[in-house]
Amino acid sequence: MLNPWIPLLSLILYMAFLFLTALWVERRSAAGRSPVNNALVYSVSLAVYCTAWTYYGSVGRAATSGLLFLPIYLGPTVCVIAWWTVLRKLVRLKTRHHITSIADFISARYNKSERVAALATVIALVGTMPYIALQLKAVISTFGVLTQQEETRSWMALHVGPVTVALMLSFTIILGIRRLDPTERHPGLIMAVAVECLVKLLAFLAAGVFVTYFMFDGFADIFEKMAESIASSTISPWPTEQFSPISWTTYLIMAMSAIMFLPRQFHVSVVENFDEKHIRTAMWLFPLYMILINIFVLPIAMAGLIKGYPALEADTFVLALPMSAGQEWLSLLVFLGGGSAATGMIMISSITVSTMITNHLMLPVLGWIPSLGFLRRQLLKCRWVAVVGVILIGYWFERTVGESYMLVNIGVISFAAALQFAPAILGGIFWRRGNETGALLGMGAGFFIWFYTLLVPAFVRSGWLSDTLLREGPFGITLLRPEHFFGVLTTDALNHTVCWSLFFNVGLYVFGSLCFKQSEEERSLAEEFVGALQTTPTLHRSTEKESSIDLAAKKNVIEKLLGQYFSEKKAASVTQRSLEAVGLANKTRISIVELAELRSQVEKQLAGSIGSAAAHRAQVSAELFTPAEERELSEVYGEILVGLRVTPEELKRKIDYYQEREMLLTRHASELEDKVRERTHDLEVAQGELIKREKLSVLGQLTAIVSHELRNPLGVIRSSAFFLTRRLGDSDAKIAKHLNRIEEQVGICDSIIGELLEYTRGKRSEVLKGDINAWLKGVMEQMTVPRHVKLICEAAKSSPDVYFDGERLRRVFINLFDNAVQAVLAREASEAGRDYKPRIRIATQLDPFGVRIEVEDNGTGMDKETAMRAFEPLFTTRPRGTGLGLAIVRKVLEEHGGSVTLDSNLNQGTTISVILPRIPPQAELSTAKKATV
Amino acid sequence: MKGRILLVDDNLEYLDSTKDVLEDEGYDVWTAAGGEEAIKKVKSRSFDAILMDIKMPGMNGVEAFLEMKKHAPDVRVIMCTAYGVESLIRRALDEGVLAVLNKPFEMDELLQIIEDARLGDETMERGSMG
Repeated sequence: MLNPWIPLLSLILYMAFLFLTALWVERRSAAGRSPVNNALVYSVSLAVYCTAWTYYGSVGRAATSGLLFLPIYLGPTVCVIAWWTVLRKLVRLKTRHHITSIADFISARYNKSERVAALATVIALVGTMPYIALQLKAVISTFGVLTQQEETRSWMALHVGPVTVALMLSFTIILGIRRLDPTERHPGLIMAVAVECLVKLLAFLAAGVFVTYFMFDGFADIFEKMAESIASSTISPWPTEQFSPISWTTYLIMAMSAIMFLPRQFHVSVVENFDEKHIRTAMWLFPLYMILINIFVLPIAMAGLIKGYPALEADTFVLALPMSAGQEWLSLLVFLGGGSAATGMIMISSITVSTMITNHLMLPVLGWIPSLGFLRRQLLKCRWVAVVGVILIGYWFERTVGESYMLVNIGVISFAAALQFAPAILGGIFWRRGNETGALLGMGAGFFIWFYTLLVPAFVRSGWLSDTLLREGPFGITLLRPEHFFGVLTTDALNHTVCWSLFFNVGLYVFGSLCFKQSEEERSLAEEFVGALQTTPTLHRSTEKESSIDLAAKKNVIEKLLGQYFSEKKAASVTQRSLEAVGLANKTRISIVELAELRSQVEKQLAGSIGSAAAHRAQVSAELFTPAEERELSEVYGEILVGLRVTPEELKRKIDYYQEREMLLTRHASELEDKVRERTHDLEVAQGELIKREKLSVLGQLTAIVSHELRNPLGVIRSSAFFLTRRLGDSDAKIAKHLNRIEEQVGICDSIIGELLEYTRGKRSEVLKGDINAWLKGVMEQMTVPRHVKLICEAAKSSPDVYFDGERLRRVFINLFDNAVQAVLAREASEAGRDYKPRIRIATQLDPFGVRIEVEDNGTGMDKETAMRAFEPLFTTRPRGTGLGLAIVRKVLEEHGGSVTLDSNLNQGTTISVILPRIPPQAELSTAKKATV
Repeated sequence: MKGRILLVDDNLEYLDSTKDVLEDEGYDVWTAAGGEEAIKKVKSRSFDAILMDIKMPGMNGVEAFLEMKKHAPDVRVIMCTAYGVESLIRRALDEGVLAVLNKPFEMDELLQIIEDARLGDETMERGSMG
């Protein structure tokens, strides 16, 4: 009679609490003190085995079939005995191979086969589906019980299914796969599960205590009242089904395999295991939990029957009894317990199955479809999608089949599926010859039988498939009727499935393994899996046998050997260090193997000083080993090889293989190093460029501002000077001279500013394409040359069109020409009186790259150093000048993609060659307009 | 009196110096320290030539020129600037200014251009000094 929102809100609050717990645990784990690294937490979390099926379904089973609910819990309890061997082996292998799921484990054993992993994933997925359906059914139906007398058409009552599914989905994603864990373990999640396991146990015990001791007067009272009721025929006689050894055996086998091979059990017990020592605690604690959670099953079942509830409703007795007694808060607690049981199972199952789906189905498929490769980086989101898929399939199954089955009967379908893993896993860790083919055949066949004889009938019962298949078999072949395979007539579908599937699974596994050969790698994997609990054989084992060699004598030999290279003192200390390094410092007698270790240690020490080849030679000549000892050593090595089951040929092959690998790796490494060096160089160059450009741009902005600001006052000076010249210029020669000087200096200032701006300005003007000859002629005409300087122009007959920025290139030629004129005038001045004819020649000619333009003068020329530094910014030989002229020339030409070179001899002249390329300087300039010069 | 000239510049020293030069040359010289003031003056009387700076606070020279053109379509304007504001220079030339001079320009050149302008030699069109 609770408002439907109360259980819903309680569930949400409860989950929020679990979430905080998980967060706390994750933070502690990150700090290295994981609270989950604890035997108690491990043991309790194993109780995720007890799901809503246990919680509600055991009572249901007890009310209809009597004690047959027990084997489901007896199985694991019996199985516990084998844990120290089986579970420990699984855990050890998981640690060694970083196993993430049951499918991963099976594939790791069978040649790391992707096919095996994919098959196991499919079995896990389909096998888990009924189990998740069961949990949803339990939560949905108990929700109904809890709120039964409310308005049935309330929104909540109508949508309880989707709401439950949505809640489960959110819990799973938030608690379990909020992020990708770096390891295969999820400490936060496991703590949440452990808490849930405690809550469900306490809730169930509370309900049991209430029913047994408050509604009745203890166990004895209930049993008496039950007997009375049967006697008075108010209820049908207690369990109609009698004790059946076959059913018991079937259930026991299934439960024994389920406790380890249900995907979620494998996950909590193997994948999430921190330390194999925890298994010891779990071996007594887990059975205890089983007993506690089963104590009150019979009393509650009987109480329900005595109170007159129909046996078919027994799944909800746990909740209905406190409810009928008006205990709403106890009922709520029971409901939360059931919710815990369900969410725990759904979370772990869907997480492990979604991990399998992404790792073993999705990733291989992505390998075939390169265009989906981006999904690899979206693994987390893919897991979310997988979880949603898994839970929705479970919900679909619940909708389809749930109505027609009781909880227990749905659950056993999943148990039977998990059983299909048993032969491959157990065979894998106990039988060396089990191989990939066998595993594929066995699991495949077992899965098929399971699907055909158990799942298909379930679909038929729900009306989803036609029932002619059950009655007449496929295509009318009665031998193949799903529930009566090969004509076997049994009444119990489960026994039928378990027998046939085990028969085919084990049979084909053995058959496949015997008929096909293992590959080399698979053989060593099999060896490792089967021998997982044995410690790796080491050299030290044989050392325990005989220590017959006198260490002092050998020590002398070593010291003498070292004495050839070191001082006496140093030789003694190195000897001592070697003895300590191999742990023989305190011994007087040593074994042959220890002596061998000592020898290699000494050689290593020596190699550090004289190189390994020389050290080896010295060691051999020192005769540390007598011939007899050498023989003994090779015998010992032989024994070790036998112990390792390696033939000498195999050893040699392996050594070759590893040597070749090492060589390859070294080569790759050096190639990689080269590449890194190359890239680093590129990067440095690019960085240098960047810095240069950055500096220039800052400098450029500054120069632009300063220059322009200077031009305003210069303008004022010019105006004022002009005014004065007009008024006073004629009055006095000196005044005129100074006014002229002002005017002249303003002009110099202005041209300095012009050069600065030119050098620092960015590429802004237009690039044209055209004939350089015509353009150059135009430029030449504007230049003024003293009349006595001979000017020669030689234009190439034809020249290709080139790209150029007229404005800037004009500046280049003005500069070059100006330099040439200055040079010839200077030489003329220094050679006054001698026969010197100043001459400047400008020539254009074709060049492979485009056009070459030469400006040649017979002026002063430059010495070597000046010629070398001529293009440097701020370098100048003139008293006045910015030293930017040639720097601007080079900059402009580089921006054009061209080049400029200088050839000069002192007192003979200078030739400057400019090359303008045929191609546009940058892609963006390819749209250059046709020049209109 | 050779003609009436308007000088527009936010630099008052420049205005004053140039005014003195032009007055010595026999012009009737008026000055304005900004675009708005210049427009007012253009509205009240006509000028034979206007020398105007491009960069001024508030309304710039080109904007002022466009505004003047609305009242006196045949206004004769010479622009000058100390900055490389290429887009404004191009705009001014497109809109029909007589010349754009880069500061600090030769005074002889200025006088020549003003004289040409006053005499209505409208075929002249000069670019920057290069």
